[in-house]
Amino acid sequence: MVIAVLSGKGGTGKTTVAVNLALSLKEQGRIILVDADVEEPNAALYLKPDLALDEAILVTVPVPEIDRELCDYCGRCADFCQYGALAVIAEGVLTFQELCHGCGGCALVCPKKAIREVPRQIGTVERGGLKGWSSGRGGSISASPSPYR
Amino acid sequence: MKIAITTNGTDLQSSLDPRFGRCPYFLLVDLETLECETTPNPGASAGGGAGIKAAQALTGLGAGALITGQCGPNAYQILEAAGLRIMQAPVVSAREVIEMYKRGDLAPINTPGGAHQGMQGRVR
Repeated sequence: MVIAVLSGKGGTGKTTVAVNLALSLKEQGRIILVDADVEEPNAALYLKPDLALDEAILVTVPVPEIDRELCDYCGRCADFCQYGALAVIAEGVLTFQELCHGCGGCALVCPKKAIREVPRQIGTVERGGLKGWSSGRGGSISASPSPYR
Repeated sequence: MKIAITTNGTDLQSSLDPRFGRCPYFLLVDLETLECETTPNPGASAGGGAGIKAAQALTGLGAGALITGQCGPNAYQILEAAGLRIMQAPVVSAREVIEMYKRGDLAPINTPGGAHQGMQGRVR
């Protein structure tokens, strides 16, 4: 069974409820607590899981990379982008990766096929086990903000 | 030489709009003849990336320098790549801005201001 704890407003007790729910149920069987807060996941502060950091999964979004040999500065990629993630001026092309929404449209409209999508890390997913939970292992999986931002 | 000024209106009476990314117009003024051309700023109506759209449009206008109040880090990066001189002026008429420029009274802008300052620091 999956129980989701969520709220439209911060500071209402999501972590409190989720952590205590997990603690109350740990005798019942294998419990996995997923902290899906992408800004400030803090369940791990209370449960203190043994995080196996070498198992962290990188979370990435695709962003444009321009091949300067092929690009002729036509500007079609910048015209297409709804988010201003590309600017084409006489002196060259500038990319603003933090504004990119990963739609891939720039690569599609480039007449010279000069754009490819490359991964940009925006976070990590860490997982770890919790000692002393009686029936088998409890696991805690949490998302965390990346230092690469 | 032509100078670009970020303005609220389309002639020399218009006042300078200090927000580079969100100003309604770029006024391009010929320093010799004082003839003006107006270009609407595409950044004014952009949801996001306003400074980027504004800078991209501005660099295509053939201005020798830009006079504004402030510009954010993304716009600054583009203007710097284009080699455009940026100067700061107070909120006075475009005509007075030109006078101040000719007297050498305008300070250069050498570093970007904060992001989203034209929106009072808020994103929306």
